Amino acid sequence: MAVLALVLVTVFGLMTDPQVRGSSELASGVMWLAFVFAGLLAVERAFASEKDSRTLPGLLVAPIPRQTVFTAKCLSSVTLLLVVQAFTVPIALALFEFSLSGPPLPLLAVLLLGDAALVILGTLTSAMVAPTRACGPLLAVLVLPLLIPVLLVTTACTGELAAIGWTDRAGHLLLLLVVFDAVFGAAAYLLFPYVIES
Amino acid sequence: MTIALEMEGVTRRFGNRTALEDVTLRVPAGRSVRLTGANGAGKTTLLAVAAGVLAADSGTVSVFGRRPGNSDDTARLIGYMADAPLVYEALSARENLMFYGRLYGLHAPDGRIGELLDLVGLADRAGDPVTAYSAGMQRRLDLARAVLHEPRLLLMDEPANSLDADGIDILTGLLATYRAGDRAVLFTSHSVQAGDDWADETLVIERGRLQTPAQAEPRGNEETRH
Repeated sequence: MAVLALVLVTVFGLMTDPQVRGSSELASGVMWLAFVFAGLLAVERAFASEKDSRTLPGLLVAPIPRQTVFTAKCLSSVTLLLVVQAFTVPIALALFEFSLSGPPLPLLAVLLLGDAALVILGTLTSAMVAPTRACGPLLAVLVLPLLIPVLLVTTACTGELAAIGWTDRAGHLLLLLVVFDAVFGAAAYLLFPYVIES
Repeated sequence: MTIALEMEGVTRRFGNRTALEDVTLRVPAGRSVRLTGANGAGKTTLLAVAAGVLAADSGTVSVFGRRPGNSDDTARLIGYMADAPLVYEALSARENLMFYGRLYGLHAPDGRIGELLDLVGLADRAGDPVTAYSAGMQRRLDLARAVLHEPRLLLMDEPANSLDADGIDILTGLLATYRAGDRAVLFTSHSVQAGDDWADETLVIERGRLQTPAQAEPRGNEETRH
């Protein structure tokens, strides 16, 4: 995961015309591209141990709500993604010759909210495709189209916060991310028990 | 008479295929019931529905009067052994049992884990990863996992698979304790002969339908009731 994210950021960073390297939109776009692919790797592995060991019935018969399994899988994937972002972001900023302006907390909020959307959609889809042979490619095919609206918002918001700092537009974009997370989270919470059983 | 497991008109389909059709059975407490049938008859599906792993498309299932999947307490009544061991290969035996102990809310499970590892003969290999175990050892560990939380209903899919003579003895001893008390066992076997000594009654399933009367009766009782 981490290696993939680093490779993507490094390759795009080195390929970019030096005259446009300081662009916040470019930097945020490349970063989120790297995060999406790293995140897909994380969620693909969410049910790997249950798939490899065929232990999913053991979780289903245990006295825990199925949504607890979903939440635990999401939290572990988000944690992995945050670790990857912790060193990918500084490297990306250095490669794109870009420095942050404004307080870091709103940027952290964008990362968390964007990761949450990615992981929620990815974990639900991973549960659906885990039994299949081509679960990796299938996961990407199913999740990426669903992530387009989220990526548009996270990229724009990250670029705005990084280049200018806190603005009304950034605030609206952040609110939109909160709404995305709430809708995706509620849908996944309701659907997961049926998905995992099938 | 306490009914440990009651299934009433249970149907389960997978796409166009009907795996269980209008299955009705009752397993009283203090009984061990064997479910036998050909490959693909529906034995595994029946156990999975009884355990709450799969939901029935129609009909009802109750375990000691409660519906599986509706509460944590109901799940704690059930000990489930699937056809494949439900143990994580990357973890050791002790780690697996500790994980499941925590899932089932056991307080300080170390003593219980040690006792079970001794019972199933894995105490000296408890620290080895399960991936290094033979199939029989994994089955023994799975048996320990299934009874870790002292369930009142054991649902076991081909429990003797991969077990050697010592493993069979362990399983026999364990089933005897379940038959003696207020607990119950429902196990599957694809052979009518296998598990003959473990069962008070045998039910036959064919193409998703039970072929023998629902109520389990003591061995030697020729009367059967629906």
